[in-house]
Amino acid sequence: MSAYNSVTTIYKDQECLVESLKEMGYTEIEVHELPQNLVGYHADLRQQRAHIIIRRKHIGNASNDIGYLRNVDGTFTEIISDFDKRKHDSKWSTNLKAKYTEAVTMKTAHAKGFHFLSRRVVNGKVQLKFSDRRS
Amino acid sequence: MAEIIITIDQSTGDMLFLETSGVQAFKALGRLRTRRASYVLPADFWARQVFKLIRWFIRDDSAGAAWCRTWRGPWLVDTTPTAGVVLVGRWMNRQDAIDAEVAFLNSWFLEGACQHTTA
Repeated sequence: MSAYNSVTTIYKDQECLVESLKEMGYTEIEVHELPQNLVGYHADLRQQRAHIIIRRKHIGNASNDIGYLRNVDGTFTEIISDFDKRKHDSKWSTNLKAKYTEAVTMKTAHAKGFHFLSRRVVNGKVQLKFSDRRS
Repeated sequence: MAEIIITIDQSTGDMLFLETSGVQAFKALGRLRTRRASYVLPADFWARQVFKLIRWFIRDDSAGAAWCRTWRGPWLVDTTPTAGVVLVGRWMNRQDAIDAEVAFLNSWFLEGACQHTTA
């Protein structure tokens, strides 16, 4: 009998999240040790705070900042205003998540000492192959 | 040297991988759900019924389960829980059947199509 695992990825790795946001086209990303206030489209300081911030000037004139707040358990919560969800909709979020999943998989494999063998893409699925030399 | 294969669905961002040694670290990357993928069973009908009966009553990590795995072939691969098919082919060596099972499932995770199978 074989079993398989399905994992719904949760944003936990700051480095991979920033890397994935860069892949989504945002090259100017602020990373803060302490959460900073987000800025709204009127240049107003919002009450929402985040550790990872894409400033509105990099998103669009009428946009608000986009942020990712690190929670006590180490996971990140995405903060996107309703206005910006028109551009950063569920499809955008899914693309980001897919990039993050691949980045964090590669990082985890590297940390475990696995040797990367190949990457295949078929019909919207990516398959990463590693070898575990220890076994 | 063991292979670890991770499949990422770009339409959801979720990942799939078979339960093998070395995958523990990947399980911690999010919300985990573990499910049965397939069975390797005796190809002979009556042997298969006895096998299922024994395995119904004993744990997968028991000595009895280990004994069942030493039975002589031929073996078949039943992927009903996932792909819903029994693979074409019978294997005298159980490890060969498992290898075919793993190769098929990883191909199915990626391509979703069933090749070399019978309903």
